[in-house]
Amino acid sequence: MANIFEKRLLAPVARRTAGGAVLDLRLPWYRALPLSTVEVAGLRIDGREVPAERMRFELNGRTWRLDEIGEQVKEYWYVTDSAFLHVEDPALLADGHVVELTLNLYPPYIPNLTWVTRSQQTLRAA
Amino acid sequence: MMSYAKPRLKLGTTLFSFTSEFHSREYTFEQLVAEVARRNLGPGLEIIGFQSIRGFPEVSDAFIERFRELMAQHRLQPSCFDANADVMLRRGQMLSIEEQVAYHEPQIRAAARLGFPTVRCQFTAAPEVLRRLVPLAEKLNVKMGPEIHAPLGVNSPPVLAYREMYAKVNSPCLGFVPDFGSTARTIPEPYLDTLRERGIPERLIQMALEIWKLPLDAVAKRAELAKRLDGEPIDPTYQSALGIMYNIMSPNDVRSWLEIMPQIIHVHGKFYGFDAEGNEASIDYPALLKVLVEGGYQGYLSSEYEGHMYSEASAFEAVSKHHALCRRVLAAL
Repeated sequence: MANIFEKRLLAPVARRTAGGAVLDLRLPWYRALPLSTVEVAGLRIDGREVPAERMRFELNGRTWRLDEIGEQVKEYWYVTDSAFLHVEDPALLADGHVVELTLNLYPPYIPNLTWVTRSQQTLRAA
Repeated sequence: MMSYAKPRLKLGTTLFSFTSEFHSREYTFEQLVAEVARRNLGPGLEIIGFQSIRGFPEVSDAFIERFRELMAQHRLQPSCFDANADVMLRRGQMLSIEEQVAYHEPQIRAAARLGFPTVRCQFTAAPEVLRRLVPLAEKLNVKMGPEIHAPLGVNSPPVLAYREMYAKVNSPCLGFVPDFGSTARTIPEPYLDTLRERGIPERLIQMALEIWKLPLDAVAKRAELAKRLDGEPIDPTYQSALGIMYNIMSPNDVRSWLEIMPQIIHVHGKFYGFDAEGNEASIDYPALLKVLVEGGYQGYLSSEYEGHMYSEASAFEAVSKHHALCRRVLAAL
């Protein structure tokens, strides 16, 4: 489903690291949500799927594996804050790769809704 | 007898209207408040705890003090505080009644500390949750109640369950927050345009709209749509996209609000956009405001712009037009 937050989900500018990059993410929703209701559903670099174990999710100064964020019921992603996706992938050591992120939200006051947001950016380093 | 001659309801704005301006970091919370006052979009100010307050449901004394200063400085009145019934904190697992009560408590306390007289709740919480919160609301002297939003109307089963509980408990703290989208006359054009942009044929959009007008609940409307589309060679995503319109707005009778008028504690004046004459095509404001005034409603009407779901036009301009429309209609009543 197309939605208005799509264009802000993934910033085009990333921070480069020794083995990849740190992507800047925004919450595609109008209010803060518990991190437990957020799911990184997929990341592709030039169409190639990045395995979940090559990624870490950082919010409010803490970092988790992707399979741990469903447990974080007391950690809120505030509506104007960035979260950061640490990606270990040598392709990201150079500019110009097309990155596509899919993020699912399960708003906890709307049972049965899955809010899917997908955004594509040609990344460059800060 | 109450005099109907002078409308006594008060206007105001919910900061939800400025979701785009806030989410894009163009305006801070304090700048939104200042702009609402500068454009005379008060006196009521409504906020969503989880949108406007970093760290919510915890609220610092410093924030409380600053918020009260801002209200005084800009001559705004806290009107309604929006709480959330986050019953599925853990995916696929519902909080118990006790846990839901505990989740609401700090939100209601925050509303009272900030000076809000009213708390908007959600039907996702069962009547029993609010029933158990009555002693707290009475102690803090705040009114609370769920928002009647499409696809619900005043006689939908979840609303009737609350009305039954209210009749038993009989507390002055319990009420409802109508959203005018529940009593709409048609689906807003900007929303239909998003369907057209997806390539859905006009014939199917009109078919879905015809079903929208039927006196059925959202589930039954989607079933009817499925029946009529059966055998049509269409993209399967069209059916789900069309079916969402039954949850955005409902065509309940504008006069149905009179049934619960004494229990109305706040109103969401939902709107999407305006025609050249400044009228809202999808919501009949002259008829709805007449109902509120006739019913003797004396609370706030928050301008709630939702066009930001489909459009990047300035929400401040939209809310200003909404206030102009409401003032014009109220002056003529």
